[in-house]
Amino acid sequence: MESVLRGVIVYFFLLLLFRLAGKRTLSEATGFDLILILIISETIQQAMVNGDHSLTNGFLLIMTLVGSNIFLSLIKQRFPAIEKWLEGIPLVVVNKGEMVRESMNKVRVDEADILDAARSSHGLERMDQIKYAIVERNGSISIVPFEK
Amino acid sequence: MSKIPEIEWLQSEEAMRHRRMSWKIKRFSWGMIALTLAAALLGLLGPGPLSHSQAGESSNGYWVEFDRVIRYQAPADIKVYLQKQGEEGKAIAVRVSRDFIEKLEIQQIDPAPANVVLSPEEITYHFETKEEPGEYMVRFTFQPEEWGNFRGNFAMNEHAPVEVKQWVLP
Repeated sequence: MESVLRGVIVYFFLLLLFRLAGKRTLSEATGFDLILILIISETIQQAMVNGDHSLTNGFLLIMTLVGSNIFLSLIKQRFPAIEKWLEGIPLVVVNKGEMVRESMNKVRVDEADILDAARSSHGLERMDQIKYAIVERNGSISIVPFEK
Repeated sequence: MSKIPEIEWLQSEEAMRHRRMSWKIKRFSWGMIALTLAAALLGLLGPGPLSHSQAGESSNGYWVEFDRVIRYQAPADIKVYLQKQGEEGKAIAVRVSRDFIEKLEIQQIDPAPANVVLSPEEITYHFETKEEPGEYMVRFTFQPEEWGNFRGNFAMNEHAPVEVKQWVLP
Protein backbone atom coordinates (compact mmCIF):
# COMPACT_ATOMS: atom_id res chain seq x y z
CA MET A 1 0.00 0.00 0.00
CA GLU A 2 2.76 2.40 1.02
CA SER A 3 4.68 1.96 -2.26
CA VAL A 4 1.71 3.14 -4.33
CA LEU A 5 0.95 6.07 -2.04
CA ARG A 6 4.59 7.18 -2.04
CA GLY A 7 4.72 6.94 -5.84
CA VAL A 8 1.52 8.98 -6.27
CA ILE A 9 2.69 11.66 -3.81
CA VAL A 10 6.09 11.96 -5.53
CA TYR A 11 4.48 12.11 -9.00
CA PHE A 12 2.07 14.91 -8.12
CA PHE A 13 4.67 16.80 -6.09
CA LEU A 14 7.07 16.83 -9.07
CA LEU A 15 4.25 17.74 -11.43
CA LEU A 16 3.35 20.73 -9.27
CA LEU A 17 6.97 21.75 -8.77
CA PHE A 18 7.86 21.71 -12.47
CA ARG A 19 4.61 23.44 -13.39
CA LEU A 20 5.41 26.22 -10.92
CA ALA A 21 9.03 26.40 -12.12
CA GLY A 22 7.77 27.46 -15.53
CA LYS A 23 7.68 26.03 -19.01
CA ARG A 24 11.16 27.23 -19.97
CA THR A 25 12.83 25.09 -17.28
CA LEU A 26 13.04 21.85 -19.26
CA SER A 27 13.30 23.33 -22.72
CA GLU A 28 16.35 25.38 -21.75
CA ALA A 29 18.15 22.55 -20.00
CA THR A 30 21.79 23.44 -19.49
CA GLY A 31 24.59 21.25 -18.13
CA PHE A 32 23.79 22.42 -14.61
CA ASP A 33 20.07 21.66 -15.10
CA LEU A 34 21.03 18.11 -15.99
CA ILE A 35 23.04 17.81 -12.77
CA LEU A 36 20.09 19.27 -10.87
CA ILE A 37 17.76 16.67 -12.38
CA LEU A 38 20.18 13.90 -11.38
CA ILE A 39 20.29 15.23 -7.80
CA ILE A 40 16.48 15.47 -7.71
CA SER A 41 16.11 11.90 -8.98
CA GLU A 42 18.60 10.62 -6.40
CA THR A 43 16.80 12.45 -3.57
CA ILE A 44 13.38 11.29 -4.72
CA GLN A 45 14.60 7.72 -5.11
CA GLN A 46 15.56 7.61 -1.41
CA ALA A 47 12.13 8.89 -0.40
CA MET A 48 10.26 6.47 -2.64
CA VAL A 49 12.18 3.28 -1.90
CA ASN A 50 12.34 3.86 1.88
CA GLY A 51 14.52 0.82 2.60
CA ASP A 52 12.38 -1.59 0.55
CA HIS A 53 14.74 -2.92 -2.11
CA SER A 54 12.47 -5.72 -3.28
CA LEU A 55 11.67 -6.32 -6.92
CA THR A 56 7.95 -6.03 -6.11
CA ASN A 57 8.44 -2.54 -4.69
CA GLY A 58 10.46 -1.46 -7.73
CA PHE A 59 7.83 -2.75 -10.16
CA LEU A 60 5.01 -1.19 -8.14
CA LEU A 61 6.71 2.21 -8.05
CA ILE A 62 7.31 2.18 -11.80
CA MET A 63 3.71 1.10 -12.42
CA THR A 64 2.47 3.84 -10.09
CA LEU A 65 4.41 6.54 -11.93
CA VAL A 66 3.42 5.26 -15.38
CA GLY A 67 -0.17 4.67 -14.21
CA SER A 68 -0.40 8.20 -12.80
CA ASN A 69 0.81 9.54 -16.13
CA ILE A 70 -1.80 7.55 -18.07
CA PHE A 71 -4.51 8.60 -15.60
CA LEU A 72 -3.56 12.25 -15.93
CA SER A 73 -3.48 12.05 -19.74
CA LEU A 74 -7.03 10.61 -19.71
CA ILE A 75 -8.18 13.36 -17.33
CA LYS A 76 -6.59 16.05 -19.52
CA GLN A 77 -8.26 14.62 -22.60
CA ARG A 78 -11.65 14.58 -20.90
CA PHE A 79 -11.39 17.93 -19.13
CA PRO A 80 -9.66 20.56 -21.31
CA ALA A 81 -9.84 23.10 -18.47
CA ILE A 82 -7.62 20.87 -16.34
CA GLU A 83 -5.23 20.44 -19.26
CA LYS A 84 -4.94 24.22 -19.54
CA TRP A 85 -3.89 24.44 -15.90
CA LEU A 86 -1.51 21.49 -16.02
CA GLU A 87 0.11 22.11 -19.38
CA GLY A 88 -0.48 25.83 -19.78
CA ILE A 89 -1.43 27.39 -23.12
CA PRO A 90 0.85 28.58 -25.93
CA LEU A 91 1.91 32.22 -25.68
CA VAL A 92 2.52 34.60 -28.60
CA VAL A 93 5.77 36.52 -28.00
CA VAL A 94 6.14 38.04 -31.50
CA ASN A 95 3.00 39.31 -33.17
CA LYS A 96 3.30 40.35 -36.85
CA GLY A 97 6.96 41.15 -36.42
CA GLU A 98 6.48 43.07 -33.14
CA MET A 99 7.89 41.68 -29.91
CA VAL A 100 5.37 41.42 -27.07
CA ARG A 101 7.66 42.46 -24.23
CA GLU A 102 5.23 41.78 -21.38
CA SER A 103 4.66 38.18 -22.52
CA MET A 104 8.37 37.69 -23.14
CA ASN A 105 9.20 38.81 -19.60
CA LYS A 106 6.56 36.54 -18.10
CA VAL A 107 8.06 33.41 -19.74
CA ARG A 108 11.68 34.60 -19.42
CA VAL A 109 12.31 34.67 -23.18
CA ASP A 110 14.49 37.36 -24.75
CA GLU A 111 15.16 38.53 -28.29
CA ALA A 112 18.20 36.26 -28.59
CA ASP A 113 16.07 33.18 -27.77
CA ILE A 114 13.59 34.09 -30.50
CA LEU A 115 16.29 34.76 -33.09
CA ASP A 116 17.99 31.51 -32.08
CA ALA A 117 14.75 29.58 -32.75
CA ALA A 118 14.19 31.49 -36.01
CA ARG A 119 17.70 30.73 -37.27
CA SER A 120 17.59 27.04 -36.39
CA SER A 121 14.06 26.36 -37.68
CA HIS A 122 13.82 28.61 -40.78
CA GLY A 123 17.25 30.11 -41.35
CA LEU A 124 15.88 33.61 -40.61
CA GLU A 125 18.27 36.40 -39.70
CA ARG A 126 16.16 39.34 -38.50
CA MET A 127 13.17 40.00 -36.31
CA ASP A 128 11.26 41.69 -39.15
CA GLN A 129 11.23 38.34 -41.01
CA ILE A 130 9.23 36.73 -38.20
CA LYS A 131 5.46 36.95 -38.40
CA TYR A 132 4.72 35.03 -35.21
CA ALA A 133 6.88 33.51 -32.47
CA ILE A 134 4.99 31.30 -30.05
CA VAL A 135 6.22 29.72 -26.82
CA GLU A 136 4.62 26.28 -26.95
CA ARG A 137 3.34 24.24 -24.02
CA ASN A 138 6.58 22.23 -23.87
CA GLY A 139 8.62 25.46 -23.65
CA SER A 140 9.96 25.39 -27.22
CA ILE A 141 9.59 28.43 -29.51
CA SER A 142 7.73 27.97 -32.80
CA ILE A 143 8.43 30.45 -35.59
CA VAL A 144 6.04 31.43 -38.35
CA PRO A 145 7.90 33.55 -40.96
CA PHE A 146 6.31 36.23 -43.16
CA GLU A 147 5.36 34.85 -46.54
CA LYS A 148 7.87 35.82 -49.21
CA MET B 1 18.39 3.00 -45.94
CA SER B 2 14.99 1.57 -45.04
CA LYS B 3 12.06 2.12 -47.29
CA ILE B 4 9.70 4.83 -46.02
CA PRO B 5 6.10 3.56 -45.78
CA GLU B 6 3.90 5.16 -48.34
CA ILE B 7 1.03 7.40 -47.31
CA GLU B 8 -1.42 5.03 -49.01
CA TRP B 9 -0.28 2.16 -46.84
CA LEU B 10 -0.52 4.27 -43.68
CA GLN B 11 -4.17 4.91 -44.52
CA SER B 12 -4.88 1.31 -45.53
CA GLU B 13 -7.21 -1.07 -43.72
CA GLU B 14 -4.21 -3.27 -42.85
CA ALA B 15 -2.49 -0.40 -41.03
CA MET B 16 -5.74 0.50 -39.29
CA ARG B 17 -6.23 -3.11 -38.17
CA HIS B 18 -2.73 -3.08 -36.70
CA ARG B 19 -3.45 0.17 -34.86
CA ARG B 20 -6.77 -1.12 -33.52
CA MET B 21 -5.09 -4.24 -32.16
CA SER B 22 -2.30 -2.17 -30.64
CA TRP B 23 -4.82 0.21 -28.98
CA LYS B 24 -6.76 -2.77 -27.64
CA ILE B 25 -3.60 -4.26 -26.08
CA LYS B 26 -2.69 -0.87 -24.66
CA ARG B 27 -6.12 -0.38 -23.06
CA PHE B 28 -6.01 -3.89 -21.63
CA SER B 29 -2.56 -3.27 -20.13
CA TRP B 30 -3.81 -0.01 -18.57
CA GLY B 31 -6.57 -2.01 -16.90
CA MET B 32 -4.00 -4.51 -15.64
CA ILE B 33 -1.85 -1.69 -14.23
CA ALA B 34 -4.91 -0.23 -12.47
CA LEU B 35 -5.81 -3.66 -11.04
CA THR B 36 -2.25 -4.29 -9.84
CA LEU B 37 -2.11 -0.89 -8.13
CA ALA B 38 -5.53 -1.51 -6.53
CA ALA B 39 -4.27 -4.90 -5.28
CA ALA B 40 -1.17 -3.22 -3.88
CA LEU B 41 -3.27 -0.55 -2.15
CA LEU B 42 -5.44 -3.24 -0.56
CA GLY B 43 -2.39 -5.10 0.69
CA LEU B 44 -2.25 -8.11 -1.66
CA LEU B 45 1.29 -7.26 -2.77
CA GLY B 46 2.73 -6.19 0.55
CA PRO B 47 1.64 -4.68 3.86
CA GLY B 48 -1.84 -3.14 3.75
CA PRO B 49 -5.38 -3.57 5.10
CA LEU B 50 -6.00 -7.07 3.66
CA SER B 51 -2.49 -8.24 4.53
CA HIS B 52 -2.75 -7.40 8.21
CA SER B 53 -3.41 -10.48 10.27
CA GLN B 54 -3.52 -11.80 13.78
CA ALA B 55 -2.62 -15.21 15.21
CA GLY B 56 -4.06 -16.14 18.58
CA GLU B 57 -6.98 -14.48 20.32
CA SER B 58 -6.84 -11.41 22.48
CA SER B 59 -9.43 -13.13 24.70
CA ASN B 60 -6.80 -15.78 25.48
CA GLY B 61 -4.47 -13.08 26.72
CA TYR B 62 -1.82 -13.62 24.05
CA TRP B 63 -1.73 -12.79 20.34
CA VAL B 64 0.63 -11.94 17.50
CA GLU B 65 0.04 -9.26 14.84
CA PHE B 66 1.80 -9.46 11.49
CA ASP B 67 1.38 -8.92 7.75
CA ARG B 68 0.54 -12.00 5.67
CA VAL B 69 2.33 -10.58 2.63
CA ILE B 70 5.75 -9.02 3.03
CA ARG B 71 8.69 -8.43 0.68
CA TYR B 72 12.18 -9.80 0.30
CA GLN B 73 14.82 -7.62 2.00
CA ALA B 74 12.24 -5.06 3.08
CA PRO B 75 11.76 -4.22 6.77
CA ALA B 76 8.73 -5.88 8.38
CA ASP B 77 7.29 -6.05 11.87
CA ILE B 78 5.80 -8.75 14.05
CA LYS B 79 4.19 -7.56 17.28
CA VAL B 80 3.69 -9.96 20.13
CA TYR B 81 1.09 -8.93 22.72
CA LEU B 82 0.44 -10.21 26.20
CA GLN B 83 -2.50 -9.18 28.31
CA LYS B 84 -1.05 -9.64 31.77
CA GLN B 85 -3.42 -10.43 34.59
CA GLY B 86 -0.78 -9.79 37.23
CA GLU B 87 -0.04 -13.31 38.39
CA GLU B 88 2.57 -14.11 35.68
CA GLY B 89 5.42 -12.52 37.60
CA LYS B 90 7.95 -10.05 36.31
CA ALA B 91 9.33 -11.97 33.36
CA ILE B 92 8.03 -12.52 29.85
CA ALA B 93 9.57 -15.19 27.65
CA VAL B 94 8.86 -15.13 23.92
CA ARG B 95 9.79 -18.35 22.13
CA VAL B 96 10.28 -18.28 18.36
CA SER B 97 10.83 -21.39 16.25
CA ARG B 98 14.34 -21.59 14.81
CA ASP B 99 13.33 -22.48 11.24
CA PHE B 100 11.50 -19.14 11.07
CA ILE B 101 14.41 -17.13 12.45
CA GLU B 102 16.82 -18.79 10.02
CA LYS B 103 15.03 -17.29 7.02
CA LEU B 104 15.31 -13.68 8.16
CA GLU B 105 17.63 -11.15 9.64
CA ILE B 106 16.35 -9.63 12.87
CA GLN B 107 17.17 -5.94 12.85
CA GLN B 108 15.70 -4.85 16.12
CA ILE B 109 13.76 -6.18 19.06
CA ASP B 110 11.96 -3.46 20.94
CA PRO B 111 12.32 -3.48 23.91
CA ALA B 112 15.69 -5.23 23.85
CA PRO B 113 15.53 -8.62 25.60
CA ALA B 114 17.24 -9.03 28.97
CA ASN B 115 18.73 -12.27 27.69
CA VAL B 116 18.40 -14.80 24.90
CA VAL B 117 18.44 -18.57 25.32
CA LEU B 118 19.13 -20.89 22.43
CA SER B 119 17.85 -24.41 22.09
CA PRO B 120 17.94 -26.73 19.05
CA GLU B 121 14.30 -26.04 18.18
CA GLU B 122 13.70 -22.47 19.23
CA ILE B 123 15.12 -19.21 20.51
CA THR B 124 13.73 -17.75 23.71
CA TYR B 125 13.85 -14.02 24.38
CA HIS B 126 13.43 -12.99 28.02
CA PHE B 127 12.09 -9.58 29.01
CA GLU B 128 11.76 -7.90 32.38
CA THR B 129 8.38 -6.34 33.12
CA LYS B 130 6.55 -4.71 35.96
CA GLU B 131 4.14 -6.92 37.84
CA GLU B 132 1.15 -4.70 37.22
CA PRO B 133 -1.55 -6.06 34.90
CA GLY B 134 -2.08 -4.58 31.45
CA GLU B 135 -1.20 -5.00 27.79
CA TYR B 136 2.48 -5.62 27.04
CA MET B 137 3.98 -5.58 23.56
CA VAL B 138 7.25 -6.72 22.02
CA ARG B 139 8.08 -5.67 18.45
CA PHE B 140 10.37 -7.74 16.22
CA THR B 141 11.66 -5.77 13.22
CA PHE B 142 13.26 -8.00 10.62
CA GLN B 143 14.13 -8.35 6.98
CA PRO B 144 13.40 -11.59 5.08
CA GLU B 145 16.52 -13.13 3.56
CA GLU B 146 14.59 -15.61 1.40
CA TRP B 147 11.36 -15.40 -0.52
CA GLY B 148 8.49 -17.85 -0.56
CA ASN B 149 6.31 -19.23 2.18
CA PHE B 150 7.33 -18.58 5.81
CA ARG B 151 5.83 -20.45 8.76
CA GLY B 152 6.90 -19.94 12.32
CA ASN B 153 5.67 -20.56 15.84
CA PHE B 154 5.52 -17.86 18.44
CA ALA B 155 4.84 -18.66 22.06
CA MET B 156 4.76 -16.53 25.16
CA ASN B 157 5.38 -17.81 28.67
CA GLU B 158 3.34 -20.98 29.11
CA HIS B 159 0.79 -20.17 26.41
CA ALA B 160 0.47 -22.64 23.53
CA PRO B 161 2.35 -21.50 20.42
CA VAL B 162 0.50 -19.70 17.63
CA GLU B 163 1.47 -20.12 14.00
CA VAL B 164 2.49 -17.14 11.89
CA LYS B 165 2.22 -17.68 8.12
CA GLN B 166 3.76 -15.14 5.79
CA TRP B 167 4.24 -14.99 2.06
CA VAL B 168 7.46 -13.22 1.09
CA LEU B 169 7.36 -11.68 -2.39
CA PRO B 170 10.62 -11.27 -4.32
